Amino acid sequence: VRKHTSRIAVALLVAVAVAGSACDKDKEFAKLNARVAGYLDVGIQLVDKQTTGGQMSPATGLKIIETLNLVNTINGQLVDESKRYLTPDGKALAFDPAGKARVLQIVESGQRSLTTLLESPEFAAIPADKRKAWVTLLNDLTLTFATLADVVQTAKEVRQ
Amino acid sequence: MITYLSLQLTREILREASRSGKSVEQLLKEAEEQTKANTTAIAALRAKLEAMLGDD
Repeated sequence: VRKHTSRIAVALLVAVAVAGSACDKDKEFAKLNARVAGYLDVGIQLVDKQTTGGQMSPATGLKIIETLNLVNTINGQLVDESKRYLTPDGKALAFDPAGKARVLQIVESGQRSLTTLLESPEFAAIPADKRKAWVTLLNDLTLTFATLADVVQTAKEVRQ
Repeated sequence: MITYLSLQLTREILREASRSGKSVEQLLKEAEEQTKANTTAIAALRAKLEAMLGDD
């Protein structure tokens, strides 16, 4: 009886650990969405500051704003799509294989938009000392999207 | 390097996520609200920049 009890206890501990880790991963996914939105907020303020201060031309500001708008729209799509996979208690995400593929596609389109901006002539035209802040911000955004992709790829799939 | 940084970010976010007592639904709602606020701010800034371009 004691042997059985200890086996059941170990199985319960493993089950709780696995469930907890899955839930943390889902929270991580949602936190990353919020982080992208936060970085975009910083970017919007930076465009405003640099164009108002004459350190960036309005044309370059518009180019960057268009990309930030695109990435913001993509992040909105990501949130909308993810909400479809929320469990009824709102505590976890249950992606099916098709949903996972759709979310990954959205993440990749976000990554492409950032790469396009980084490689654009308008971006290269920003004075080097002012560009530094942008490089940091865009690298953080790129890294966040890469982490989002990792989290989705490793998320447990639910067959529906 | 990106993989290493990505792992670091994952660990940091996992710690953050565990600390916040918020549910996934609440966290997604926060992201949604910030996204909506960004849309409004972008529209206002775009109008301002277009006006600046018009003045040139």
